Formats: sequence, C-alpha cells, structure tokens
Amino acid sequence: MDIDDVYTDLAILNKDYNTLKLKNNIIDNQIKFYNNLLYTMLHAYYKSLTVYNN
Amino acid sequence: MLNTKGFIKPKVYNDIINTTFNSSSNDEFVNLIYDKNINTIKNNIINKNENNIIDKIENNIIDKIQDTQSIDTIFQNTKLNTIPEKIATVIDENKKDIYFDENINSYIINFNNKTHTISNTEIFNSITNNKITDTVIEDFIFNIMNIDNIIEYKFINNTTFSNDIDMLFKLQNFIYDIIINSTFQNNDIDTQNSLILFYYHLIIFMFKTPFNIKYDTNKINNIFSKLSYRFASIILKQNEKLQIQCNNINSKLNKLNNDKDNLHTKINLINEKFDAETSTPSSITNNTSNTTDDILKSTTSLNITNSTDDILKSTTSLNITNSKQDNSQSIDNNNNCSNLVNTVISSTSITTEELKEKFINNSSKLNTEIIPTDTNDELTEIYQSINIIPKNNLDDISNIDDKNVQNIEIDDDIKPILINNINDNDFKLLSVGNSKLNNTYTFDKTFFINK
Repeated sequence: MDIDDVYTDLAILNKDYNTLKLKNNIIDNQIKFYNNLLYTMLHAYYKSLTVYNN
Repeated sequence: MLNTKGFIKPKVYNDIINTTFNSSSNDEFVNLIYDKNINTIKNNIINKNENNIIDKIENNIIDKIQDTQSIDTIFQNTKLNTIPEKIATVIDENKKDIYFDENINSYIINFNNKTHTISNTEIFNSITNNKITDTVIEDFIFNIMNIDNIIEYKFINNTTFSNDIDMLFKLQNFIYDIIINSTFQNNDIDTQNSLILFYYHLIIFMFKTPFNIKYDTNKINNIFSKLSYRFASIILKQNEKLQIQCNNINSKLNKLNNDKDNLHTKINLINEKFDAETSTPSSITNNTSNTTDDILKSTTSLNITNSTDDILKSTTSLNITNSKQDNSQSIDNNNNCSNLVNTVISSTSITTEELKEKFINNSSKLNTEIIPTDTNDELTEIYQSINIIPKNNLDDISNIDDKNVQNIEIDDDIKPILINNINDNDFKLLSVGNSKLNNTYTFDKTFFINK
C-alpha cells in the first residue's frame, strides 16, 4: 500500500471520527436539555400542587 | 301512536250495553265486575259529559313515555361524559364562550359578539414553522418569541381560551398524540423538538394559571398529575431514543479508533521501510552517518583488524612468491620474519592512531566516505595501502593457491605479537614492498581462519 493512500484513508477516517464525535456531543446536549425540561416541569408541578392543596 | 297495552278499551260500546248476564260460565263474576266498570264509565260519560276522558288518559301516558325517553337520553349523555377529557355539564354549547367542534377539528370562540375559529391544523403549522400562521392564535392562545434563535412559546393570560382548562387540555391531547404516535425521521427532529418544547410551555402555563376560581381542586389535581406523567413519559422515551443513538455512535467511534491505530501502524512500517531504503548500503557509510564516536570505534577497530590481518596476508603472499625462489632460507629467516611481522603490526597500530586523527578530519569534512588526501607523505601511502587491502580476509585465504600452500612450512611456535614493539621503520620497509623480504614466512593457516 502506498503511503499516500494510507494518509488519504487516515484523513477520511479523521473526518468521520470528528463528525461522529460532534454528533455525539449534540446528542449529549439534547439529553441534558430534555432532562432540564423534565426537572423544571416536575418542580412546577410540585409548586402547583402545593398551591392548589393549601 | 297511542299505546293501549294494559288499558281495557271496549271495541264497540253497543256490544257492552247489550251484554246479558245469561252466561253461566266461570267468567260470570269477572263479567259482572267488567260490566260494573263499564257501567260506571258509561254513567260517567253520560252524566258528566266527559267524552274526552279517554283522550286525556292517553295524553298523560304519552307524556310519561316521552319523559322516560328524555331521561334515557340524559343518562346516555352523562355516560359519555365519564371520559376524563369530556367532563362537563350538559349545556348547550352554542351558549358558551368557547367550545371545540369535533367535525371541523377547531375551537370556536365567541368573543365580543363575534365568532372566531382556530383549527388544530393552524396551531400545528404555527408550532412547526415557528411562525404564527393565524392572527387569531396570537389573540387567544399564544405567540412565538424568537430571541437569539431561541424559540419560546408564550401563552397569553386571561383570554377566553387560556382561562378554559378544558380547551387547554384538548390542545394538550392533540399535541401529545402527535408526539407519541408520530415516527419522526432525521429530517423531522426539529419538528419533534418544537412540539416537545411547545408541550412543555403549555404544561408550565397550565400549572401557573389559577384555575381554582372556576374548577374543582380534585379535577385540577387529576389533570395536572396526568400532564406531568405524560410529559415525563415523553422525555424519558426521547432520552432513551437518544441514548441508543449515542451508543451506536460510540461503537462506530471505537471502530474508527481501531482503524486509526492500524493506519498509524502501517504508516510507521512504511516509514521504517522508506528509511531503510534511503540509507546507504555499505557499513562504513552507515557508520559515518552515525555519531563520530561510533564511527571512530567501528572504523578504527575495523582498520586495526584489517591492517594487522591484511598486512600479514600481504607479507605471506610475498613470502609465498618468494618461497619458490628460496626455500632453504626459510628456517634461518624465521625469527627475522616474525620480528618483521611484529614490526609491521606495531607500526600499523601506531599509524592507525594517526590515521584516526586523519579519519576524524576527513569524516568531519565529508561525513560520508573516507577519501584519501592527495599528500604524498608516507602515512598517506600507508593509509592508501591499508584501504586497498580487501576487507574479507577469508576471501583472500580462499584465493591462495593450494600448490603454493603445500610448499609452506608451518610453524606452530608463532608467539603473540606485541603491538607496542613495532616500529615505523619496519612498517616502511614492508609497505613499499622492500626487496629484502625474500625469506619464506611459515604460518598457521587456521590462525587466519579463526580470526
């Protein structure tokens, strides 16, 4: 195998790696965002219950 | 028409009047009673002139039946309204400020003697496009705030729509069904996110709105618990989906890492191969490409071994040629010859030190191969003569003619050579091929081979 081919493969591989890594970060952020929404909603629900039941 | 079941109505009144009591049957008593009733009615009809009494009775019965039917209808309606989403009193919807029309899938709002219609489709389009498509939505339900590309659905307080928990719950049902039942592809992720975000803002708005003025607390609690459960289920389902995606990506990343390592290994191998190809084939040049110390060590040792062995060989070759001429003097000159060899070797050892300096100078200048200088001094000649000698001693030995070897007397008493005892003058004699060396030198053949 020619060294140029290896370097080309390596460049493509690096690009794919970075793309996937970025995608993974986006998904991680989405999960965090949804978890925050859930937490805020539960907090608001708890507050509303205390308001209505007192 | 009139249902006369259970009500005795004589077909022909004349038949009743003309009835006789001649009958002796078992029904005689019954007939008497019957006749009595009939007679009473007859009398009533005759005496009071109430000809319409039967009709009145019929009307009463009809009213009662109609009442029963209306009760059944009410019962059926209340049965339908036991579904949580349809908890409401049976009131004519046309008289309400707001109601939902299932046929057109729209909310009908009566406000300021005007009727406004907001369809669920319009609401959906507004959410997905992040832009209000119908101004009525903006007036009664929500508007969209876009601050630094962060979308926020702001619900409007104290409107006909937002004050009605049933309508808000209906809207929530509509959005929830879309989120849960739709399979969002990659292109629809934004749509899904928008819907979830809208659902979140709707729920938070419902939690904040003071519905307790109009509604029962239990009902509100039920609705709120249902909302929180639904939203939590949506989020957890979404997170699970994302987690699966994340795991798939991680496995792909691991695979890519392995491929990367393999490629690095290949690159290293190719580089090593490349370095090996570009380097010079001779060992001397390899040595000169290294540090000067290594060069000195390797080349001087090589020179020493080469010089001693090869000089010995050259002397023996000289001796071999001379042996044909005079074999008789070999024994007499044996000691002289050994001394000569000692001298030669000692002189080479001295000269190698000098050569060492010369080599350092040359190698530092050229850093590649040793090139002899043009000076004609003796050292240079010696240096040249040493370098001319083939390196492989065994090859030289193999080149020796066996016939000549047979004539050589081998002396096993050759003593170790003391390098320090060799003089430069002795070496000079040998290096220039002095004609005085006519004596045969006896040597051990295995001595060279072992070396």
